[in-house]
Amino acid sequence: MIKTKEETVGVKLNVKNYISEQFIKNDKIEINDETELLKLGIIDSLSMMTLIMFIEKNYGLDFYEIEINRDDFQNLLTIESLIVKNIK
Amino acid sequence: MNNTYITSFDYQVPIDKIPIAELRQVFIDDFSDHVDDLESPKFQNITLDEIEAVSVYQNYNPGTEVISVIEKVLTDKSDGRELDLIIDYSVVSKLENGLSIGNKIQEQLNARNALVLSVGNGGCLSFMLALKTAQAFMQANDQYKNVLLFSEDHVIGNRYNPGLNVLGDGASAILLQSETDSTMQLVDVECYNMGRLNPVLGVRHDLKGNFKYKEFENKIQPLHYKVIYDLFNKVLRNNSLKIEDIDLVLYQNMSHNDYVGLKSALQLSEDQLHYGKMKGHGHVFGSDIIINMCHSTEQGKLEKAKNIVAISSGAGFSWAVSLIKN
Repeated sequence: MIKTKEETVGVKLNVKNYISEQFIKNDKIEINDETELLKLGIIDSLSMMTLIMFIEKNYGLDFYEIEINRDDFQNLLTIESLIVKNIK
Repeated sequence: MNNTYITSFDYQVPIDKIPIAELRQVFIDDFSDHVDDLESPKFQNITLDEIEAVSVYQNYNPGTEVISVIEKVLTDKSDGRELDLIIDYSVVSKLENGLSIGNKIQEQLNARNALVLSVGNGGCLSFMLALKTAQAFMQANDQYKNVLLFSEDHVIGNRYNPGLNVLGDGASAILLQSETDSTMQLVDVECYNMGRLNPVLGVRHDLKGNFKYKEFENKIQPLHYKVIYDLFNKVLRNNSLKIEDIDLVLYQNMSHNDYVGLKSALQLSEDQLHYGKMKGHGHVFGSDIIINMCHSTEQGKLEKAKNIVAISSGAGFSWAVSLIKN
């Protein structure tokens, strides 16, 4: 588990790999930093739950404590920002 | 320490119905200006058409509708005078002076020895809070042997929440006893309140229909199934159970879409999840779980189930999961 901000390099790639493996069934679709994950339906309320659990497990974020917004899951950049700013 | 057994339960909804199409029109005409995001995809994608109609009380007089349900629940099981505790889990019904209808019910039942409480603050999961409160009283003090929980809900204002639920009126009651022939035991109730979400959907249903839909979608929905998942697994761990040990899951009647979401989130089989009776009822606040207990009994599911889980969420914002063993 990554616990410090110094260790956050690669967060975006880890999340990208997770989303690609878990939520994208079509191999031809590749996501980039600004792919609109919510608008395209790649992340819905259920995949958001598993993504939250992935982040919790791998980066130690406590979603009972931090304030989140649906917009935090808009794209890879916003997800990275959510993780990095909340790693203690 | 007393165990808590469920001796009897029942519900009743009014015979007068309003079709969902009519409620949708009332919403558009009278309340849609108060909703902050009518462009949300949820308004388009979740039609709530499966509900068809809801039941509504005409000429409502607080505290009069639930009595017949209570009488059915108490028949031969307990006399009003033997009740030790009465808990009102109504969410939106109050007397004219704003107080719970609990004391009116106490008087009508001649339950002169009962302590009367009200736990409406959990919104639609108030029933679960009532269960937890009753269990705590019964475990803490042998004096509390016969406990009646009841609700009577009558909506004032908007009943149609696009994409989320349609609110119906109704009443329900359940009798908990420590000494009974019943084998249905309330084992565990886990509740969680995320107080910082209170401004999104607070403890009091807004009578003007000022529903902060976008806020709800942004702040509560991302966490909804995760919190349920965590509480569900906590209850399993507490009781050394695995998911395959759960025979029946009862849930609140918001929408078919929400049932599908819960099934996927908890990875339940088709047999484990009981799809609730909402076609002519809609969402009847804390009564939903009892409505679905009755509905699953009619289908022969409840009696056969050894481990039953009930799940609710509500204003606060709050979530609860309970375990009943048969």
